[in-house]
Amino acid sequence: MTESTPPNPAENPPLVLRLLKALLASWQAAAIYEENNNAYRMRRAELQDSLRALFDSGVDCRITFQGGFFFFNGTRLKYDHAFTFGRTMAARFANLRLGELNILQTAHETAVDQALFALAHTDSKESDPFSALAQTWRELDIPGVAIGPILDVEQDVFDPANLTEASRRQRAQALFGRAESVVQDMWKRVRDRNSFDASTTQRVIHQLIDQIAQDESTLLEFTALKEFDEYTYYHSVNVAIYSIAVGMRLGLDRGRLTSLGMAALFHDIGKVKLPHDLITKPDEYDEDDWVQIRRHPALGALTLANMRRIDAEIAVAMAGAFEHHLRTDMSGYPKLSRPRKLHLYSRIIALCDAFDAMTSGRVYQKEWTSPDEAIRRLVYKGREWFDTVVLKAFVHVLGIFPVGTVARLSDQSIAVVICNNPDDPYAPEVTVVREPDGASCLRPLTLARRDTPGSDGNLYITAILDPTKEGISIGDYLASIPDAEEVGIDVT
Amino acid sequence: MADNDFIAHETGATGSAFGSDAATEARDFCLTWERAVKTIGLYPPTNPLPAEFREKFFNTLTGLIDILGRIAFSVTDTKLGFLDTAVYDKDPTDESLAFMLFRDGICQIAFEPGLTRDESDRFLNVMADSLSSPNSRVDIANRLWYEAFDHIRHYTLDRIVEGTYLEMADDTSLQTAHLDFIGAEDGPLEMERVVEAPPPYEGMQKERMEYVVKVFGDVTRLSPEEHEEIVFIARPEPATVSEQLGVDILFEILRTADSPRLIEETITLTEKQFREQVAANRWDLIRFILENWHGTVPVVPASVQRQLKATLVRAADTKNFESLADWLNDNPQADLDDVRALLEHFGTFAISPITAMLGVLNHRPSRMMVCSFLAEHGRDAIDLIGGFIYDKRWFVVRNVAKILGEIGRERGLAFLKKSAQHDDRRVRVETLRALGKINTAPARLALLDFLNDKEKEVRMRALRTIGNGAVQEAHETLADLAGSEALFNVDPDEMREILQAYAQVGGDTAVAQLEKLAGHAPWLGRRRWVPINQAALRALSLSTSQHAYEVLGRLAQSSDQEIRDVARAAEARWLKNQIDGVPKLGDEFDEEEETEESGDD
Repeated sequence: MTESTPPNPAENPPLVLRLLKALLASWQAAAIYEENNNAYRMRRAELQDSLRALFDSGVDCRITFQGGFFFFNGTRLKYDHAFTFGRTMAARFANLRLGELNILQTAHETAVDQALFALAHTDSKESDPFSALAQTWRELDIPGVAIGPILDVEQDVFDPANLTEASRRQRAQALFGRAESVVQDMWKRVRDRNSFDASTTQRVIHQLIDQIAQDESTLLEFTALKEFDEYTYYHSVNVAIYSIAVGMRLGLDRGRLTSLGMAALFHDIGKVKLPHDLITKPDEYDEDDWVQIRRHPALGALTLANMRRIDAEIAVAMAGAFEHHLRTDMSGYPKLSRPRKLHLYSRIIALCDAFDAMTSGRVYQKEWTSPDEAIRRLVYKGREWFDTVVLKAFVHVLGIFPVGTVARLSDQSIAVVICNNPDDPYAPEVTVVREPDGASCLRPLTLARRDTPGSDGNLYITAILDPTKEGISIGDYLASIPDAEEVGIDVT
Repeated sequence: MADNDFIAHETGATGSAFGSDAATEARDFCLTWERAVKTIGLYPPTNPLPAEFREKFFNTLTGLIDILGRIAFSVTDTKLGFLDTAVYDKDPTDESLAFMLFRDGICQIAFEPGLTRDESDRFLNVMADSLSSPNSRVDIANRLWYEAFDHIRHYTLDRIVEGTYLEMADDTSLQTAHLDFIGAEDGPLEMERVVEAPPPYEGMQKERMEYVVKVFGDVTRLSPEEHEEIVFIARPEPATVSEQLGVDILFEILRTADSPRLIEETITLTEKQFREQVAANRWDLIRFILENWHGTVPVVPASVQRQLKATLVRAADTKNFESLADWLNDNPQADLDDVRALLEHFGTFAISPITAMLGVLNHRPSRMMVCSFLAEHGRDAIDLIGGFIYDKRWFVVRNVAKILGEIGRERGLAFLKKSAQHDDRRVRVETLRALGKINTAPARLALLDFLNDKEKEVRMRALRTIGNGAVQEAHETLADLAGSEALFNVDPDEMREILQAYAQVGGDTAVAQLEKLAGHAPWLGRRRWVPINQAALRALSLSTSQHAYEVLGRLAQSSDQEIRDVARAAEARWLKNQIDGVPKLGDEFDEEEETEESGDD
């Protein structure tokens, strides 16, 4: 798990604001002074110090200006008393139609100087000042500093009616990544300051709910991908996505879906209080380790209760954190003083957590289970451990062959399941990735049940395969925007 | 319609066909919008003004939609734009419509044909809520999302910007996702298996697989019971239930914690929650926390018990009860039974601050509830309650005297002797009532002092108390008064009370003396004797002595018309009293004094 997190204004206000202030001062100085002038050099030194402090944390510096707002590494800045110079800065960006300034870690000091002078000396009275600026940029060939124009916000870029398959996936991908970064930020804030940004977190949950309502399958594809280094964060997002999808099938309203999604995002927050080395320990856990690990549900509930007054939202998040390793027969952990009825959200999260953990080969489980086998195991233990209604809803979401399952078809071709078929969980949509003769391909296909009358000639699943053994990286087929020509394979 | 985070085209009029007229209409609409939001925030819902503005907002907006179709306003920090014209322009303050929307990232808001009155009202509610609590955790974009409008759409910018950010963030890009670690340590996994046959993985026998297949086959069908459960699940859960669950989890952690650090952390957290719930006036949850503190004490080790008890002591902080009193003052309709139950959970540590509430509670029912609570639970805390007898506020002293009387223990006497000297008549009256209720020999003796009170009303109340309580210690004093020449100079009302009290206390001795007073009808000074005759006859009706009945019977045969008539009435009353019981005099006296204002109980 990597520790680097893009600093944002809410997380580290002094550093970010200091940097922006230094940028503005340097920009203004560059408009008045020569490069070797002391006044410029002083401001420039301050900017360089700020940049260095930022880069030391391992991330780039990306300032975006859109619709009158500034975003720093994707997080919107509020025009509050600490950011009073924001309006001056906004005027400068708007005059140049500059929508983005991205200073990479690789940028040399000379490049930053070049960039500042280009910004300061581009004529904003030009009919298209950004084109003029971009031309200067090209001529100077400034390495490590990138610019972009203000996006035309009137452009209907994300209207669902206009979405292509690629842009639909792009949109889901962006949301998935956004959710992951929000979780990452949330964990860091909880660890450092015992608080989180409720509005931002709620908003990302709302986006997930909207996305699932409109196009569940694309988002579910992303849950099938497991990023080992960032597992904890992705795991929380995956559990939230599964939980919301299950909650929708159970008929929960928007408010309850939101609180369920929040609870799911927070279910593992107790791990923040465990030693980092323990979470990332590569070896098997010993008994002492397990004693600590088994504390994370209680620590999670306490962490949440410590953030603010217990209200309904925090309370159900506490339930999700505390009860997600408990089973309906009261097995699991933590130890209880008396039996309790598990909250609905806990029952949902417990199931989603178990499935994602099984299929992720997470650090302390050391075992990877194929998605279909995970489903079978959950169903097998269902009546003892899980709420059967929730379980059925969950299987209805994922199907019997969940997204990411690699299967052999009845004609000996190999396919990756890309979408569940809720009407017939035995007949998912797949992408055939290898023909019967072994040739690579990329061919969408809807399968049939083997026992479906009149389905002669239709293909069906005959076996589940280990993707690594077959040399298949499901990441090439899921949650990406496939470009068949680029990868050099035939498109049937 | 939800926040979809994309920017839509104007699908309605483009402006050219309507030109500046449309912009003027939109400008007027924005003014109505602003006034509606402000008015709803300022006035209670019962006021006609908000209703008027709601109506106007809806009518104006739907009128515009009827002409122009979809109405979309672009949003900046200072302006609302419509058809490329700024139709609202205001400095970026919390009161500005544009800034309210802008600060939470909304860049466009649109109203669509089909807008209903309900949507219009809910939209205004969201705006008004946002105006009244600009720093709420739920920002305006989220509030609008929750409303799920069908004909109002809002758009935020986050989507566009964050989407492009992700493309650049190679280190977190999903493109790098991999599954290379699978089987890396344990060797290749045996994964291939045939679906139709049970897979050979551990613990899964063929029968079990069949069972699984059976369940899968049923996966899209719910049993009737499961159908019912789904209906139950979909019902919203009351917030209080969820909140209590949160508190319950804290205490479950405390009961099962396996390390001193965790125990200490949890106890500290319960205290923190307690304070925060007090600040939020969530007295139902405070009661729940108290219940749990008490309920946890017996099931935890002794060391934890000590910590919990210390916590309970701290919970009884005066400030908490001041907050409770403020809340009761603001909520006169509060369920006082619930509040009383809450007080019971604070335990004896809280007797003193609860007594102090008597000084700040504005409403009589609340004060009476506290008095009643202390009378019931303060039996072993008389010194704590009695300490308030020195309070400077007369109404506090009076209520304390009342509580001490209700408790009825002689230990309260020392404090009541102090209140007996109080300048305020109402305090002294309450004190003598309390003494009457304590009704021990020292208390009864203390009552006699009130017969010399400077105010007639107090003396009369003392006489009634003595009479009602048949205070024998007063016999001699009353006999002296009844036989004294001074009786002729006493106010007729007070004289009547003296003789009535004497009749109730003095037995046959009093009857004999009252007979003399009742039947004496001299030719000379007749008018002077009439009030005494009548008062004595009425007094005889209150005596429980059979002898009094005989006396009244004789006097009913008197040749004196006035004596005869009053005696007959008194005789009838005596008989009635034997059946119904001798009435306790003075209850009506209490009622007339109980008032709502300023602690005047």
